[in-house]
Amino acid sequence: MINFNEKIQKVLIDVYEYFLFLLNATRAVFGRPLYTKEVIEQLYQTGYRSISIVSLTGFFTGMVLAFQTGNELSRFGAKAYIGGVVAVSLVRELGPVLTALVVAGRVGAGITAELGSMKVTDQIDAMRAMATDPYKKLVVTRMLALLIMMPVLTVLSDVVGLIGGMVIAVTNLNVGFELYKSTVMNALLVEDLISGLMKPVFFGMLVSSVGCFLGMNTSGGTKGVGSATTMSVVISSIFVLVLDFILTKLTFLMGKPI
Amino acid sequence: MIKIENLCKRFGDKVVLDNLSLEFERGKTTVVLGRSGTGKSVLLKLILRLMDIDSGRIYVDNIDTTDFSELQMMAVRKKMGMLFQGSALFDSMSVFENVAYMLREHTSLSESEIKERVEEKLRFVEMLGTQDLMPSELSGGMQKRIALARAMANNPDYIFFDEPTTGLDPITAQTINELIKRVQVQTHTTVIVVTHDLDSANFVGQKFVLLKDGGISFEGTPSEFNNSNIEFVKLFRTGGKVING
Repeated sequence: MINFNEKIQKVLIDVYEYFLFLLNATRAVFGRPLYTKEVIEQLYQTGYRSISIVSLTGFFTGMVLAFQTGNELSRFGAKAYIGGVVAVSLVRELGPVLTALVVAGRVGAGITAELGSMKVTDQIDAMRAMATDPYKKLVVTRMLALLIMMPVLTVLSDVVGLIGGMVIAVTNLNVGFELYKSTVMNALLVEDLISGLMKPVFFGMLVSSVGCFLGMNTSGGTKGVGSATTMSVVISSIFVLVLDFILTKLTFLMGKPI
Repeated sequence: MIKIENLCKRFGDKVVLDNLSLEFERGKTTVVLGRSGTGKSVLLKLILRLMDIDSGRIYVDNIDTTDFSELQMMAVRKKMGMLFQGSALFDSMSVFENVAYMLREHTSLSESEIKERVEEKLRFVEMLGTQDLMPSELSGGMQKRIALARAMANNPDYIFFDEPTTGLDPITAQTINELIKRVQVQTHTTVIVVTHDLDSANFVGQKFVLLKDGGISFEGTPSEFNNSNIEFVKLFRTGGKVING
């Protein structure tokens, strides 16, 4: 029982420290220096270098989605609507969530491993000793980069997923390209597009902040870096799914089914 | 001058520094000695405020920095250079970028002026020509020298050395000792060396402070230390050999 209470206490302290960390990072956004060069470097590292894996995920998801739903729709003579089904599923849910999960695994883990290694080898203390704010230099740059790149990667994943769906629709289900395109365009609402861009902003914030928080609080040498990196992927992935549910529920409550 | 008054620091139940009061004189090399875990490195980190102080006061150049915010401490840290025990070089940056780091962050020097300054500091530590190498390509002793060049890049008023000779062979350790002495003699910087290496301490030190149980067991000149009859000083000097038989 004491052990359980201690665990709860530890979780509450961790949550408190995470929000304190977010507050410090938000404060560090304002004022000079701006570290523009570092932000650009992070845009490249987190965004550009994730293009291939995100595209691959999107393409195969689109194909599988079209294949699975296409066969079911055929039974009801509704396979002509395959474009709409793929578009709505991808843009509303699968695109943002799968991109966030892939980015959590690739970028979030990378951020934690990098910052964690710096922490356990005193490089972050060295940075502070040289009068640099590590929040500004390391945390803010990474969080800004992922806030910008997550929506971009999600849009890319959606587009490539729609292409994947089209490949299956045209080659396997005998649905013409024009018909596929028109059902996609008819199915998507402005709200879908807004949500498709809104969710990734929250996911980007979540993945980058969890990655940075765990990295900056790493202890226990190389073993600690390994544990922190694993934790980063696990926590980010779980909370991407939880946050997705909350955001979807909220938008439904606001009267917009997105 | 750095002045410490009644400094306390504890980690959980363990009291590391207990009402420690001490002065580091301007332009001199003070060696802080003590057994492992007696708070020597913690003392340096508290002066730089890389850790929070539990109680007590720290004065730098007669200014009380105890209640300074992180932003105010930035200005204080610009006057200080620190050589960490494991060198703590930025492993994703080249030697040149490491040494140029503080100049790029906090000065408006042009790239050619930065290049000149970096070369000057690398020449001082006899590492000119290594600018393009990465820290992983250097030996432990070379990394310490680059870390010293980095600590000196901004011409600080104070340089702190945390266990500068630990893990080095005797010849490389002596090279580092000579560099520490040259720093003080040529630049008149106030130097604080934290170590348990008595050979190193005797070579570079002008004042010795021996820590024990969170307080000061001895404070004086190297010759006073070497002739002291205080039991713990004798024990520390001989590594326990004489006392134990």
